[in-house]
Amino acid sequence: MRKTALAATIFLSGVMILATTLTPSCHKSSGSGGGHTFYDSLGGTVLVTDPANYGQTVEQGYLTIRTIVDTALVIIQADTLINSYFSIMVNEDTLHAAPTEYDKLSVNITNFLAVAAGAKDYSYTGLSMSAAHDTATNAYILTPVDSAAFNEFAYDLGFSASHVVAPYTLSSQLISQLGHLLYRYEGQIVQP
Amino acid sequence: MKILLITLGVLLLGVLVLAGHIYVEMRPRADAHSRGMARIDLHQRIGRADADRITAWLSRQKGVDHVLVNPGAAIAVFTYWPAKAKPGVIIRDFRDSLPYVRAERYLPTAAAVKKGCLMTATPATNKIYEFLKHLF
Repeated sequence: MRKTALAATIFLSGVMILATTLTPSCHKSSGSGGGHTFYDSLGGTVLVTDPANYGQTVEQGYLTIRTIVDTALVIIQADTLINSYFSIMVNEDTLHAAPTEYDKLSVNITNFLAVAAGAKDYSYTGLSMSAAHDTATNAYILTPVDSAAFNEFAYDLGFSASHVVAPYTLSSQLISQLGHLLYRYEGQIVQP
Repeated sequence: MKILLITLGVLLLGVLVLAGHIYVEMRPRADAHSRGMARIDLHQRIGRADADRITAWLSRQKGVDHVLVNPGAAIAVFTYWPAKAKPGVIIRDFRDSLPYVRAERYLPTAAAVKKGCLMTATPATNKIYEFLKHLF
């Protein structure tokens, strides 16, 4: 019996160590080192009330990006040039599970853009842009994304950014910066 | 030896039952913050006036968050709170209330789903992390 108990203890310890090892860090350190980032221009780390989560706060920069992304996803779904890449968002939710596919895509894209813009308190844990758009490494992508599709995505995101209402209104300069940020990843997303 | 095997078997069975119970009880469910998206393909030509009317009608439905109608493609898209709204019911009422009898909810095929969702693919470790984060 003592051997069994020992074996069970070792087994459970192994499971706990494995779970701890596999769990990535939730947040990067919040240090504010470095110069003024695009994220700072979007509102930065100033904490504001989160309109989508009662009683919680969110960084203004993150909220601005999330607002743009959420509207952009609706625009994209109505855009016949690229909505086929995002059809999972309107799949029937038979399990009534959270997060929904829309939630997941919103969080993934928002986190990615926030980190790319210079956010320090959020992390993107999805696939790299190269891996996410490579037919060899991502089973979800059957055909490579071409330049036209990428341009349309950027256009829809820019359109969303230019139409978000106050207090998240962006100047044309900031919308242009968002475009520059997106096109930094064009080479990784558009693959032969 | 036999006792040891039986003990190990019972222990393993207990762990499996416990894991199953934890998963069933703790699996994420739609909450007040969660939102879904639904799409209506109208299958008929529409103009700006139709788009405005459809937008107004959908926006009035309980639990609907954001509405967008593309008149060029005859597509209506809306987001909703699953805890408050059932898109199937909304779309059925939409057909009954407005003169767009050919309207139908677009549900992607398995092949269409496989073609999309590029960024929702995440490493397996993240899925484990998300589940553990939900638990604790």
